[in-house]
Amino acid sequence: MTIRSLADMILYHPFIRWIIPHLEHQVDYLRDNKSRNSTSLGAILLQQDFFQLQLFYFRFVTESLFSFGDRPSIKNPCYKHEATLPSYYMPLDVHITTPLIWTCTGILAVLDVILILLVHRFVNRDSFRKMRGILPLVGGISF
Amino acid sequence: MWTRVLSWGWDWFYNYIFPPGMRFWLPLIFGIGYSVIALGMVWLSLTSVGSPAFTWCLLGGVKGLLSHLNAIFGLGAASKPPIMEGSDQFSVLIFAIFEKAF
Repeated sequence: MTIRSLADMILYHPFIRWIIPHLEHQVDYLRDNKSRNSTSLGAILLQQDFFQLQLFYFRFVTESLFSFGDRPSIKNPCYKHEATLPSYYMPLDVHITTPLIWTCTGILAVLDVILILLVHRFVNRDSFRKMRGILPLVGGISF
Repeated sequence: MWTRVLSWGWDWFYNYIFPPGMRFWLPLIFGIGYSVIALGMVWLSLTSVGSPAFTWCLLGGVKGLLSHLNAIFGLGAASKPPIMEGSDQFSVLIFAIFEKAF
């Protein structure tokens, strides 16, 4: 695999095309909420993250695990089979390989570091205490 | 959320590690169980020194490790489902830490 083909695979991956407008929406939401009231950016980040980034992770993990490497191709019988079925259908002949797991782990690790640094920067003890009621609820839903 | 996740993955994953009779109880068990765990994590985060948000994320990673240790070695999550055949159990464990850390 060349660097170019790897870059193409990442840039044209359905997940990447899905996440970009989603992230833009997140940025707009954070900006609007910060200007409207005194809620700290970190508190919004955590509330947003625990609800939406967990959902984002779920979609990311599932899409990455099961479609990474299966580029749409006319010659790919798996793709032709999938094209006639709903998007959530799981072909029974797919396997999660170890390199795929390590790749996803690396991507998640980078995301984790960025998000944890942001949270560490913006969420202090008081703002975390204000969220202590909602965190168990959100944890039950999206852990 | 759990109903959707478990229904979506039942035929090709959860069916191999959970008894069929538990199918309709699992979303409730998962939801309540993870809420209780999150409650404990909040308490630990607030009682520990340092940034509680950072501790929360750290505890999330520990939770991911422990839950997947149980899933892999107790339930056979990395060996019984055909989709997981050939995958390295250690890599799944490490993945779980970063998956649950945030």
